[in-house]
Amino acid sequence: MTAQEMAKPVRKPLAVPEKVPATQRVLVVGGGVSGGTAARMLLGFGLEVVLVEKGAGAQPFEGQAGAELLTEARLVGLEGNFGDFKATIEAGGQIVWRTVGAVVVAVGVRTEPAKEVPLAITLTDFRRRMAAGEPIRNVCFLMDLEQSTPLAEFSLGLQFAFEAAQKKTSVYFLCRDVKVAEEGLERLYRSAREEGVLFIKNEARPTIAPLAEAASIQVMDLSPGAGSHLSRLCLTAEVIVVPEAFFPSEDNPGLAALLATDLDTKGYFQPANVRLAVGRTNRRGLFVLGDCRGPSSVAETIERAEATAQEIASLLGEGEKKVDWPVAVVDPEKCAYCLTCNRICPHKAAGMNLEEESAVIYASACYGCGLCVAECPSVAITIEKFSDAALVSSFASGGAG
Amino acid sequence: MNGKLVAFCCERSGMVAWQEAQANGGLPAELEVVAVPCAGRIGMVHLLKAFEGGAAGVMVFACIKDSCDSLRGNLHAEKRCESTRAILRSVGMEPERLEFCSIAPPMGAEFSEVVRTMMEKVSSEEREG
Repeated sequence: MTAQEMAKPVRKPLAVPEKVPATQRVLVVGGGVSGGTAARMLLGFGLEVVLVEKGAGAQPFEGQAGAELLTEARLVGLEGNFGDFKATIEAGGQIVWRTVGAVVVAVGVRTEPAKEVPLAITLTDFRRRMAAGEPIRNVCFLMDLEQSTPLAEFSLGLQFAFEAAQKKTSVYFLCRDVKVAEEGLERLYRSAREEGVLFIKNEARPTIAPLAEAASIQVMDLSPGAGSHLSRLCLTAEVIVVPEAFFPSEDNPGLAALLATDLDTKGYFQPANVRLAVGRTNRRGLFVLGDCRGPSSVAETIERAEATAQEIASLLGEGEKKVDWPVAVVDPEKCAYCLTCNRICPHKAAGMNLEEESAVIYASACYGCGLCVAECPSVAITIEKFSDAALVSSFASGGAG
Repeated sequence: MNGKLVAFCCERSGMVAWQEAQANGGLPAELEVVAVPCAGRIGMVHLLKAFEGGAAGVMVFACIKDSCDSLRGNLHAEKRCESTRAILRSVGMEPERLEFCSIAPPMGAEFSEVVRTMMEKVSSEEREG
């Protein structure tokens, strides 16, 4: 060992900071219903908002101070951690950088009309035709065709069926199950029945044959009480309405990789984990909202957006956040710089300290779960409250060292 | 061996279930509970130390699959329990003395049941051995 090496000072672990910065600005990606709602709420809490929208327009801000709208823009990079994210945004061919305390992802969902249903129109088209005052004698709604129709679409269908029945159109409503798991839906279902909407339980794809100015629909009625000899129904309808099928956006995998968060098995944001129910993700300060988590109704979307905005406001506090959670600490003297912690950390809290050639755990991102502590091959990471000694103290006192 | 049982409990699930079980009564006096922030914090060394310290049976209580706050902490814990069982086997101990259990916070009755089963298991093995 040379004298120079011997003189090298002992590298001390970084002390856990008492407070971490909390930039009073939030990045919202996606300016739809959920992104717009969250943005307006955040502005109301006195936070600044940077809204990144893929398209040309977005929900208006009503000229509030602290709001920045970037249209025809997309997020291309995100560095840093909670309270101090550095976002790289491409807006109208230019690159801009913004420092934000939290990130809300509220991008949309891809829809396609249900395939291979002859003469079918979508719910949106049906609404247009009703609004135009076109007389429709009879209509058949076909729910749960390829996939179980999401509640959001189902409730829309129910609403339109009710409105059509009120206008003296005869309405058939075919579905596997009537979904009423939202406020007001049960009432709507009953009102629709009272107005004369005929609900038919159906599990198989009905046979549809085009007639001169309508379609004939052959269907097995599986409703209880429909005797076996009566169960084959033949309906005639001028218009067949099908819900759109929902698919996660093709942008999701790229965006998830950029944000260092996970997608579920279908490709929507956020895996099915009860702990992440309210829009939380694996990372502190990163939230996902709206249809990119799977199709949801407008009411549910708004409720979630408002709840998340409140959570962000309380997280960001007043410019600083007290570190009141346990934090793992790396001893650079022991660290072999293998970055096992970086790979294993579910919260993306482990990074590299290039100067020290050591791993480092960011207090702002760490949840103190201890996964890295258990996994570190060099035993270089510790958590004060849950040290190795503390874990075995209750039973190892009797002779075992 | 001193006939003790050690239960490593995730603070978010196992500890709550333990409190529930304790409130209902009937947990053996031999049970020692160690709180961990996440079951993923538990290393093989802690499990082996427990046996070294004289435990007759060791249990790990982790969150149920897909409801781990650290997303994969419970899976890491399960993997480490399996590896530790292999070590127990290689040194001639019954691997059944180490139990991994997925539990939700309100499952106090199930917590008691796991402890009771372990108690029976280790005492029958003691008789046979």
